[in-house]
Parts: sequence; C-alpha cells; structure tokens
Amino acid sequence: MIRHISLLNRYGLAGMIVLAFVLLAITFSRDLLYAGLFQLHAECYNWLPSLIMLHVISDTLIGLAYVFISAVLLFSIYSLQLPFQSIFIAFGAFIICCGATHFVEVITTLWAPVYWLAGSIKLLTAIISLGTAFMLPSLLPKIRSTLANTRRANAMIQEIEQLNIQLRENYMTLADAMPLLVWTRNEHLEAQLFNKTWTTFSGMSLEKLKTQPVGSWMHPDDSKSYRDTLERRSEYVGEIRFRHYDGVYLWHLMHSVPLWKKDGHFQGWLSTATNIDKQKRNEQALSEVRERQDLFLSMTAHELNTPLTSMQLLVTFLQRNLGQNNKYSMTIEMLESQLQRFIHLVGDLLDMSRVKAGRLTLTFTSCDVCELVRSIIHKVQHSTTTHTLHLSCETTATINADPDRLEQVLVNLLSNAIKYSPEAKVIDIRVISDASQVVVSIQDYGIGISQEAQSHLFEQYYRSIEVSSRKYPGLGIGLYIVYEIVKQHHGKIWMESEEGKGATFFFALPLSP
Amino acid sequence: MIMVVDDDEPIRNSLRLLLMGEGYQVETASDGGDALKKLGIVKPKVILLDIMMTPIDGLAFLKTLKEKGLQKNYAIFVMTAMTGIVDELKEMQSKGIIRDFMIKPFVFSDRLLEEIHHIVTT
Repeated sequence: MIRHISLLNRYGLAGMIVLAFVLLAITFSRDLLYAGLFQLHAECYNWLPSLIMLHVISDTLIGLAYVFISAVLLFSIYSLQLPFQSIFIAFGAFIICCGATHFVEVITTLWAPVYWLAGSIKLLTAIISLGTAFMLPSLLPKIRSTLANTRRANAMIQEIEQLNIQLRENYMTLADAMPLLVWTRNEHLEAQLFNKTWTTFSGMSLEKLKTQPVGSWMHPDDSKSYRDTLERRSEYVGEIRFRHYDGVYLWHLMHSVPLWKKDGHFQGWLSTATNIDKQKRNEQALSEVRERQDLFLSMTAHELNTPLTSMQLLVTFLQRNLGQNNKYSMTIEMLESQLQRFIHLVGDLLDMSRVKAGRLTLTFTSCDVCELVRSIIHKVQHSTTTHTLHLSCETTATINADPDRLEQVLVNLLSNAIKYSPEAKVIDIRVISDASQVVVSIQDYGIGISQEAQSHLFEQYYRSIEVSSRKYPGLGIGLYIVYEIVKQHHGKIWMESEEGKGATFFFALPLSP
Repeated sequence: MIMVVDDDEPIRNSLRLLLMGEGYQVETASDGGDALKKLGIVKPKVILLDIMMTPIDGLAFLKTLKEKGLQKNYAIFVMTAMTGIVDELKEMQSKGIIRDFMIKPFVFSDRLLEEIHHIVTT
C-alpha cells in the first residue's frame, strides 16, 4: 500500500485528495452544514470579547500562514522542478487542511456551530496526514541516496575548483617559463594575463601593462594588419616589431588565436610572440651578401668573358681571312685550341661560383634524350682525333631537362674519358631507360680510378694523386659541377672503375611525367 | 649595313674587323643612347647588341625602340655574358623582339654569318 502510494505521481495524489473530499461530502452532505442544536464556541468563552478576539485572530493568522506556506510549496514544485514532488504535494494538501480547520474554528466561534463540517475537515486532515506519514518511510532510501549524491557532487565541485586553481597556476607557470611573450585579451579586447617574459621585455609592471592600449607596443608600420585581424576575429600569424624597454624595436613572430566557447560565443584572444630579431637581421644581412655575390658574379662573368669574346672573334677573323692552307694555320689552330681551353676553365670557375652561391639556374624543356646525346657526341667527336665515340641508344624516352647544362655534363664526362684513356681508341656511350628513368653511361678503357679516389670524386677541388700531375691538367671542379647539375635535375650520378682497366660513369635522370 | 653596339672597344673593333672582312659596311655605337642617336642617321638591317652597357643598357635600348615602334625595322642579335637573363631573352625571341642571342664568349659561326648575309641581301 505504502509502496503504491509512493509510486503515485503528483496528479494521482491530488486526485486521491479530491476523491476523499468528495466521498466525505457525499457521506455527510445532509449534516455538514447542520448547526441547529449546537452553540457557538463563543459561548464557551462566555462572549468575553478579548478571549474571542484572541482565538479568532490566532486561528485566522494560522490559517493564512498555512495557505501561504502551501502556495509557496506548490509554486516551488512547479517552477523549480524539485525532486520528491509527490511528498511535497501531500505536505501541501496536509497544510491546507490544517489551515482549513483553523478557518472553520473561526466560523464555529463567531457565526455558525457547523461542528459536522469541522469534524469532517479534521477527518480529511487525518486521512491526508496519515497518507503522508505512510509515504515518508518509503522515500527514506531515495532521500538518503539524494543526499549522498549531493554530498558527492559538492565534493566534486570542490575538487574541480581546486583543479581549476591548480590548472590556472600551472598555466601561468608554463606561460612564465616560456621564452616568448604570452598574453590574453577578453572579448572587449581588455588585457587579462601577461607572462613574466612580458615584464622583463617591456620593463613595465603587470598592472601598467594591462592599462596599455591595444598594439601600443608594436611598431606603427606593423600594427595595422594586426588591428584589422582583431576586428575580424580571425587567426593572425605575422612578423611584427615589438618595442623593447630600451626603445629599440625587435622583430617577433606573432601568433594570435581567437578563443570561442562551445556555444559559439567569442571569448577573447590568446597571443604569443617569439623573438626572431637575430634571425631576421641575419636573413637581411645574408640577403645583402647574396645580392653583392650576385653582382660580383655577373661582373666577373662580364669582365672575364669580354676579352675572351674579343679574342674569339679575332681568331675567327684570322681563320676566315687567311684561308685553310697558309703558313699560320697551325699557329691559329693552336691559338684557338688554347683559347677554348681557357674559355672552358673560366666557364667552370664561374659555374663553381654560381653553385656555391646557389645561383646555378636551369631552364627546363622537354627533350628526346637520344637525339640530344647524339648531337652532343657529334660535336665532341669533331674535337677529337684520337678516340671514336660509340653510341648505343636503346630508348625513345623524353626527359625534362636543361639541354645546355646536360651538354655540359656529357662534354665534361667525355672529355675526362678521352683525357684519362690516352692509350685507348674507343669510348662507349650507352643510353637505356626503364619505367621511371633514363640512364646514360660513358665507358672508357683508360687508367681507371683507385678505390680511395672513387669516394671523393664528386667533391669540389678533389684531384686524385694519380692525376695530380702536369700530365693530366685540371682544376678538380668539373665533376663537382656535373654532380650539382645532375642533382638539380633530380637525378643521380655514380661510377664504377677498376684501376688500369678504365672507368664507367653513369647518370640517371627521371622521365618526363 | 650592320650596327655593332657594345661598350667594350676591343669587341667593337674585332666585330668591325670580322664583318668588314666579310664585305659589310659597319657602324659602331658605345651604348644604347649612342645607338639611338646614330639610328637617326644610318639605317642598318642588322644590329648586334650588348646588354650590360652604361649609361643606356641594351634592355633600355630595346624598350625605347619598342616604344617608338621601330624594332621591326631591324634584325637584332643580342650578345651578352649575363646567363641569368637567358629566360628573358628566349621570351623576347619568341615574341619577335630579337632575332637570336649569343652568350659571350661565342664563336661567330658560319650559320650566324649565313643568317646575317641572308638578312642583309634581302
């Protein structure tokens, strides 16, 4: 029974109370308002006005207080969604009934001795109070667990608050430990937090920092883009000069992130600024050095090549005007050969400087690799009378390359092959390809290269002991330039050799996509 | 007639010698400004043009010719040691602003001489 009552919802309980009241009304309907034979309560008080007044006022006030209490209770149940609503309704009904007994007491005292009605209301009060009394024990476990939950929730809240404090402290410790400037602003752009780096950098106290207008510590030329970002509430990454305490502006890499709550409400900004002044100045200095280097390179090329051009033109003039068979033709040929040698050395030196300055520029175009190799070999064949260049082309592949630079690679490798195989008569050149690359190999049958020398061959200024004699002249930069050109073509170069048997140089270049 | 524009006197003289040996009339200019001035007097069919010159360099000379609408009147061959402007020169060649270009030091080849001969005689 108790269990069933406890399970009733608030509407069921209210219905039960109304039902009880209706049943009582039906049972005692004839006698409820009967008052004929009875006397008013005032008779008991001997119509003593002060005593009657005392009872009437007390009962009225108690009744009103009960009505007020139950009204507040019912309002609370509905508006605050309190737990245990059924018991609150039962209490409310009980209190209303109690209030009603006091109002009836006033009526029976002053106007009508309706004692049947008074008794009925007391009976109703008794029923409801008994019902409430029975409901209470069944609710005890629930109340106990609710109280326990509340205690746990309170403990958790305390723990979370403690954790929040700890997190905030950790956050500040972390921010203070950082070598960068860290600060936050709220949604009204008011400064909130500054880390210690800020106070050291600006020479201002935290309080003074907070009163500084937005962007006042930035260089005026840099602050506009930052202010625009603040208005747009978008992320900002940029290089900005911040004023150091001594008045000097230092370059910083600044990062500002807008902070949004999960509900989309804008919270403010978190900003950091890393001092990059040293790097920035190094960069500027480096760029100036590079500019000077570029200027030096182009001036050197101009200054060295101008007299060579003139000499080359004069040799051409002599060749064309003196004819093939004159007593100076041998001299002119020697002159031209030495001039070409000098032009190549100057070219190598200039290329070397370009590689060192990172200014070796390539102009890529799509080329038929066999056609290109064939035309280069054709030219080189003309310049040698000692060797025959054998070409075997086993591909129709095209590659993306700088034909002039590839010519430089091949001419260099072929010249080496000729130079270091004075006793041999043949150089074998082979071009093959697979799915991804073209491989060109140049094989000579000359002096070969020692194991020790092989590992250093593509290093700048390297010349092996065997060739470091006047018999094989050279600067030791040709293969280094070749290596750099192949590298810039995203290719690779390697070699195989056995001393006394010759050497094979390979270079592989990726096929056109 | 062929005009040689170069600020280096030995190059001007060598080219004059070579081209006169081939039977051409040769006019020389020491920079772009000098060349523009002389173009008011002489009418060469071919111009051999250096780039790095002072005070008026080869690129400025080409720009002025283009502005005056005169560049189509001449077959211009650029001679330069500046490998860094090769891309720019290739673009000019494809647009017909210049006929060809040679990187210094260059061999005055038979092919080049034939091309010049063809231009001058037609």
